[in-house]
Amino acid sequence: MTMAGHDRSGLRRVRVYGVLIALLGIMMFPFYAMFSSTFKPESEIFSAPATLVPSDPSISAYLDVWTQTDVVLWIANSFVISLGTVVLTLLLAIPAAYSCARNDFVGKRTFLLAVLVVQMFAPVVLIVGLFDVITQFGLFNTYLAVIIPAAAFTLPFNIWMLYGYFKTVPVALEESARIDGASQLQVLTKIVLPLTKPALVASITYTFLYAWNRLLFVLTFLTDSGKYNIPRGVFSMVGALQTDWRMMLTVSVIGIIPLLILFAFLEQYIVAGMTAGAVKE
Amino acid sequence: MSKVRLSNVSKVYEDDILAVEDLDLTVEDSEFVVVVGPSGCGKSTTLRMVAGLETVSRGEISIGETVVNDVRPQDRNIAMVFQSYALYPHMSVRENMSFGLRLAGDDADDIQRRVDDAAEMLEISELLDDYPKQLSGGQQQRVALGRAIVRDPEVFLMDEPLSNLDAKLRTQMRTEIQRIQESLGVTTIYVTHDQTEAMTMADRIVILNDGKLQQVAPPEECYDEPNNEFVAGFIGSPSMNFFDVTVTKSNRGAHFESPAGEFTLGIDVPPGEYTFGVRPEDLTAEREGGYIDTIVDVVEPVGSDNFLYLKTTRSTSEVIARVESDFRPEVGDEIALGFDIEDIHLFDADGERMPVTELQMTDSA
Repeated sequence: MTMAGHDRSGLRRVRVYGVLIALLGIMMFPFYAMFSSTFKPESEIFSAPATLVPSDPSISAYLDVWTQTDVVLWIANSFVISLGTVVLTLLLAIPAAYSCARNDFVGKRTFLLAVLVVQMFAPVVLIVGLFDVITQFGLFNTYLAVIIPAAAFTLPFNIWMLYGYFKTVPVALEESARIDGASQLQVLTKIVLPLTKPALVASITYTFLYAWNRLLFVLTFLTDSGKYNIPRGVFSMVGALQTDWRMMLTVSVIGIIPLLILFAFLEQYIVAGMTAGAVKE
Repeated sequence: MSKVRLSNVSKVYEDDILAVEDLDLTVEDSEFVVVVGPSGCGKSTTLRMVAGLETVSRGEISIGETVVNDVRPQDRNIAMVFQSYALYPHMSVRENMSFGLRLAGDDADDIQRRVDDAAEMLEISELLDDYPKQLSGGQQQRVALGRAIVRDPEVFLMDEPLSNLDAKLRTQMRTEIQRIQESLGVTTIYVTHDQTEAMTMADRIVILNDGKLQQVAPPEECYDEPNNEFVAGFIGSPSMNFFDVTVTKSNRGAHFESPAGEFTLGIDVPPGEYTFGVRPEDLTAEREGGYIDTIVDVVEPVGSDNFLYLKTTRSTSEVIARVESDFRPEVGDEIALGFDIEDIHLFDADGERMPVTELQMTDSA
């Protein structure tokens, strides 16, 4: 490559990185503002002009939050709801996606399209109908009142993603396993699922995040404060006359930490899962 | 080990596509049968029906004394080697080979012993802890064979197992598979489109075309006495030369008139229209006489022999002759081709083989 060529490629790289860093800054700024505010006194949070760096940083909010709120209970409830949603979603999505990937049956295309249509409805549009169903089945104020609707809304994405991924597993592997003596269930659990681990991890992560952040379902179907999750807990801190924003932001930061840990562990699988099948290798 | 019997077996896919039609075949205990035919002839479908991976539309398949039409693949006590090897990528070689035994709940020590024995037989003992992606094509093929061997099945089914290997390795593995089959004595059905594999490996060859059985016979018989024009053309490389001929009676035997030439042979054939066939290796270049006058178009030396691509002077039909390597004519040379009467083949209008009876008199051009 010529000197001029080197210059052009270097300049291009600087421009690309410049744009990426700017976008990252824009996306991360709200998180930074939230995080830095947890170290500010209440008065500084709303001071004008706003301060980027706390003038007198203090970790008192992180000490107070454990005694003055039910953050531990909310995190525990978030885990129950999220894990429950993940389990229910996978129990339904795996067989649905696998049977669509491996069998031709009348109405398969219609089924897959119908599944997609469900994704087009915002939960708030269906909330009144859902409320009726939840109460009719006696699920009001139970974890299932949140887990079932959350699973219903994550199923379309999961079925479609797993469907695409299952199709990439060579049929010969399954046939070979059947001849080796595996039952249909063993073929799925011992051959197909281990080979689709990236997609499963992506599916688990997406569903976990979706359920973790659910406010609407908890707000509507759970009135028992002992079952509040993190978003509902934060929401309960909004007072009619007074709101402790510093504590609220601190709970929000704490509520993000489990997700960050989850992402850190699973990130390598998620990227593979999201892009699998995109190109012919 | 078991006999495998297919009785009037047919396979009809959706849209009435007939893949296999009324196939009758018995593979004897410990026999090595090679099913061969062009792409789409139904050979893999046949094998998959025996494996239980395809349903049987009509007829009956039995392994040993049991009719297996409704028996699941895992309950047929068969082992199959796939064209793609179908090794489980997330399992080590040892885990791949022992997968079936572990599913059957066999004793761990027994599994280890059987895997070690099979690995030793296939010379892959040092690969047992490796994963399929770390292996070469030949090694993967050995693992696939090993996985079949450890299960000690009634029947081996092999679906073009060597087609992904290079020529040298293919020849080596051919011998290896034969050696293993002979030492284990397992009834084997082997599918290939490669007639060299069929000729060199089989006790008997099953030739299929368009889902129909063409011939079942030992390799030499398929070569020397092909049932029909298809078998004659399919077995042998390069393919047999064919000419349309009109036969009339002559006082010296039968007079043949064809675009390739005109000659009289001392054989007894009823007058009529036939297809005349003679293999390239049965043609000889004659200094004098000969039956077919040709001009050399291309000379292809392959080391041990020379392939001559010739045009007949009478109609420019193409003829291929396989001659000794020290006979190398120039392009454009005129050559008269001869052949022995016992090497010719005649097929009737339906492509079926006609018997050729030599008369007790001399033949001439």
